[in-house]
This record gives sequence, C-alpha cells and structure tokens, in this order.
Amino acid sequence: MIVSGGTRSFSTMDKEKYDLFIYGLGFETRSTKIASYLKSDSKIFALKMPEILIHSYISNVKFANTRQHRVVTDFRTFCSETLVKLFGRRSSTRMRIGFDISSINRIMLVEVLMQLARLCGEEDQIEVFYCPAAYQEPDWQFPQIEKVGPINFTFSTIDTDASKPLCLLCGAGFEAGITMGMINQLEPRTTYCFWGTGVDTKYDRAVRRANFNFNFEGFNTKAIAYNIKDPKGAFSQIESVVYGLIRDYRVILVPLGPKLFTFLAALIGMTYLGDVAIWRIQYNRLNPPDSLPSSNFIQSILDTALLKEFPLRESAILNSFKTDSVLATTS
Amino acid sequence: VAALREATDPTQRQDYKFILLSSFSVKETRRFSESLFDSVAMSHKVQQNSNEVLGASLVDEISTVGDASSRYKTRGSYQKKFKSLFEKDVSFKLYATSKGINIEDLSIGEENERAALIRKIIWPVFIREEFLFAPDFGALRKSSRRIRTAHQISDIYTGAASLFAICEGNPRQIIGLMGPILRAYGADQLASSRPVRRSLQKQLVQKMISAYFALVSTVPIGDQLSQARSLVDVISLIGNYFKDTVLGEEFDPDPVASFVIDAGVPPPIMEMVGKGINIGAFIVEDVTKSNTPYTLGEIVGLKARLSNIFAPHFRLPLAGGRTINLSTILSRDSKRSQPLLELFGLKI
Repeated sequence: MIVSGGTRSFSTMDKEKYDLFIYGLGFETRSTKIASYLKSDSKIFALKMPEILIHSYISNVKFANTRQHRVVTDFRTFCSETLVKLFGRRSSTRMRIGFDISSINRIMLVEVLMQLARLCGEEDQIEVFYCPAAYQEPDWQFPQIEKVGPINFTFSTIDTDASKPLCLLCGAGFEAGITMGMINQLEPRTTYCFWGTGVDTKYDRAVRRANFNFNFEGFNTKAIAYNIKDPKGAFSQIESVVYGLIRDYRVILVPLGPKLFTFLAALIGMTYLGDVAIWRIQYNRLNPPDSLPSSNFIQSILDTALLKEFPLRESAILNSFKTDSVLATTS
Repeated sequence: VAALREATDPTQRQDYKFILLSSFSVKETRRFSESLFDSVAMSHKVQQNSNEVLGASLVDEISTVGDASSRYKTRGSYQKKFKSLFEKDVSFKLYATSKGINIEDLSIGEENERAALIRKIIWPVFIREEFLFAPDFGALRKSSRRIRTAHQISDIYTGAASLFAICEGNPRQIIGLMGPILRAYGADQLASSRPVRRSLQKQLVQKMISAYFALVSTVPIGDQLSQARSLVDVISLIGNYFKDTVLGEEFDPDPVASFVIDAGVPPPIMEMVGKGINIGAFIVEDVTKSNTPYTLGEIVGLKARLSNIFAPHFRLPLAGGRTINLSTILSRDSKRSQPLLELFGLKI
C-alpha cells in the first residue's frame, strides 16, 4: 500500500507544488509547518478543527487566511462535494495530492483517506505527511475516556464472524494507562501493542512508562516496536501480523499514539475491509499540550493502484448486505 | 395495570435467584482466593501455602483470637504501635486516656474487653501511626501535625490476607499479582524459604492499582458535574473523604468506610456510581439477603463501599466502618483533585 517512505527536511518542500493539498488547522504549532513551505499556486485546503483558542490556534488561522488557503468549516460537504468536484474537473492527467495528517483528528484522517481512495486514479500520486511533535513531558494523568467505538460504519468489522475471539492491535502512545484500560475493559484473547520508536529516546521512555513497561500481567500481550521514520516498513510489519490473525480472530485496531499509526491502521482497514475494525478512543484532557514541530517530517507515497481496490471492496460488501436484506425479505 | 405487571414480572426468590458476583465481606473472598492461589502456585511448582509465600498480614493478625496476646504486652508489636501513636498524636492520646487504655500494656483485661476497646481500633491506629509524622520539636501541638506524603504503599497492605482482600477475589487480579510473586518465590526458594520480600509485593500492588485506575478511566461518561467530571473523580471524592476520617485532625475510632447511595445524589453521579458498581470499583452489600426483593439496576438505598483495591492509595483500613450518605460526602467542599499523578511518578 505504501510505495516508499522516509524522513524529509522541511527545506526540501520549498519548491513543491500540489494540485491538491489538505492539512488540519488546529491549535498545535506544527499544524501549519509543512503548509508554510508550499508554493503559493498549490490548491491548499485547511480543515478547521474545533475552535479551541489555545497555543497557536489564532496565529494558525491567521496564517491560513493570509496565504489564501481554502479554510474548510463544513467537513461533510468538503468530502461529499468539494473533493468530488475537484477530481471531476481535474486539469492534469496525473494529479499530485498532498495530505498532512499531523494535526488532523482521527475521524477526519480516515474519512479523507477513504474519499481519496474512492476518487483518485491509478496514475495519481498521493503523498501523506506526518510531522512528529517535539518531545514534551506528559502530565501523567489518566485521560478520561468519553467515547469508545468504531471510527465509522465502514471500519466496524461488519463482515466478520462474531464467534471468533477478540484480538486487539493497539497503537500505544504516551497517553497514560489507556492501552491498559482498554485491554482491561475489552478482555481480548490476545493483544499486540505496537509502539513507535526512532524519533526521540525520551519519547520511547515515556511510551514504555505510560504502558507499564508493556508488562500487562494477567493478559496475553505482546509488544512490538515499529520505526516511525519508516512508514513502509511499519505498514508491512503490522499488515503481516493482521494477515496472520484474521483467520482465527476478530481484529480490532485501536490507534492511539502518533497519528502515523492511525494512517497505517486506515490503510490496513481498507485492505482487510469488513474483517478488521478500527476503533477510536475519544478522551478528554483539561489542558491539551501544544505539539511543536520536530526538525523534520515523514513522507509516505501511496500505491494508488492498490488503494483503488478499496472502493471495489466497499461496494462489494455493501451490495452483499443489500442482497442479504432482499433474501431476508423474500424468504 | 400495576397488578397485571406484578403478576407477569418474575419475582426474586420465587422465579429466580439473584447471584451477586462481588462480595461485601473480606472474609468471604478469602476462601476463594486461597484456592485460586493454590492452583496458580501449583502451576509455578510451588507447594507452600499463601502465608508461607506472602507472609503474615495485619488482617490475619487482627482476626487471630487468643494466641496473639503477646502482641498486646509491653514491647509487643501492637503495644509499640499504640505507644508510638500515643506519643505523636494528641487526639489519640486524649482518646486513649479518656477510654482508660493502658498504653504500656494492652494485654491487661479480658479478651472481650480487648476486642471492644483495642482490636476495634487497630486499623485506624496502625494507619495513623504509619502516616502521621512525629510533631516537630517534640511539642504535642496540633499545629505541628504533618502527614507523610511518600507515595510508596505501606507494609500494612502486604502479606497474604491483605493482598487477597485488595484483590477482592477478582481472578484476573489474583493471577496477575501472584504470577510475578510466585516466580520470584520460585527463584529464591533454593536460597531460602522466606516469604517474598515486601518491597516486591508493594511494587506489584502499586502497579495493579495503576492498572485499575486505567480501567476506571476508560469507562465512558455522560453528563458531568463540576465537582466530579469522571468516575475517577467520584472515587477520589469518596476515597479522600474516607481518608480524612482515618487521618483527620481528630482520632476517629470508627472511621467512615462505606456509604448509602441516597436519593439526594445528583443523577449524573448516580449514573457514574452505577457504572462503578458494574466494573467493581464499588462493592454493594449483599442485596440477596435484604427483606425486600431487589430490582436489578435500582441502586438508590443500597449500601456500598470502595473496592479494597483503592485502600493502599487512599490509606484506608481493609476493614469495615461507619456508613454515611453519599450525598453528604459529595456536599463537602473539596478542591477537584488530580489523584493519579503519583501513580506514574514512580519508576515502573
């Protein structure tokens, strides 16, 4: 699903031009970092996150307006109309699309990826960017969970065998205790804790500490490290585990931690559509910390030919449900 | 309509039997925990019983009648604790004096007398003795009273019976806690036959509490009140209230240890308490023994206590105590606490 990937320095973005570039406009300082290097004649959409007037929110909005980025306040219309029109009126035979996932929420991240997969052509190039945050010591408070459940209808294991035992694949971050809490709550038969390394040793230590050193006594768990700077390798690593599991388990991917894991989880969800669920843990923090950009960012170039298989799988599953309902009605 | 409904609704004791999956009593969980321990120990090739592996605990010592009188005598372990508290806690000194407790020799008098006067207050005495510092300058002034702030779990929560009480008979917690302990015991067995060191037990209990708080924080919440925005907040309000009755300014021989979920509790908190009962954070009384049939889901009027797993964190006795209304606890003007920082402050 990922053709190539790796780290890039911001200066290399200086002369880049995109037919479509999407980023999340929020309160994190890193929110506008990559967009600030783009050529002004790129078509840039800033997806406005909920208005939380802290950290760099005001300056980020000002930046987007000054640079005449198209600030999106209605996300649904953006996906269902704006993107459809954009791809419908494509001027070049090969579109170059950039998507900065650094400061976007997980629901939007997955929805945008799904829509790009539905609309893009095999000849298009989709580049996904992730700017890791510079390390800041977490507050070590247990965040209060507000909602837990599938990220959307599509990624809710609609086509799996409910009698199979449960397997969790958590993308562990430094959110104190959430992985432990989810394992405790859902009591899966087995759990794989994927945790991203390679950016900062302080971050690695914090992740281990927030996750009880991955020593979840009493539960069948296994911790697997993946390299955040190597998204292609990380995808292969996680995908191969999922491939081995889906025959015997109901697999639920629970992306916490870096956004990169959510991106990888979405790609895996698209690959094993119907068999793998992606869950979202919405939690509340009284004082969310800022995320300052680190010295470079991570780029992943997607295999659009493989990505195009997602809408085919999606329509096949939806059609099978329609067929089932017709059979149920007639019998 | 009501009569018809009554006729068709299944009736407790006649149509079905209510089985409570939690136990309000520490003693009731003991037998189950012992059996499970033996089973886990067998799988680790450990033949010894829980007391040999984990050592004795305060819970056992208190419940031992007759043969433990040496502890009450001069220089006995209990006498030393009582005397130590007598010397550093003015309010306890006043209490002991008013009750005529002979602090130099607690063994004087009949067993019944000792049970009523001494054994009843062992838990509050031990906890105060453990966590109250001696006054500065040797002066017995209230203003110099300080509470120990060290994060470490106290020794009084270690040993077989205490650990079983903390686990509340929860199989996952018993297995999770005993696994590393039995491994350590097995490794040391060749060198000595001593119980597993208390420091390891405390470390594992601390970790278990952190994991349990993590579980509690994953319970999704509905409406929030400013005084308690989450189940963790509700637990903290209750736990800190209980703690203040044990470690408060005045020595309380019968500290608050349980509450009644009264009708004055705001609905959002009532909902959180219900969720807390479902995940075992609150243990409700055995409703099967009440005179009136219990309606599933109805929690108003029930007596409940905090799960013992929170006892080391809030420094509470592993024993019963007074009961008050939950609305009284909630009405106390207390700052919203951030109780969990210390759980991750330790190197784990």
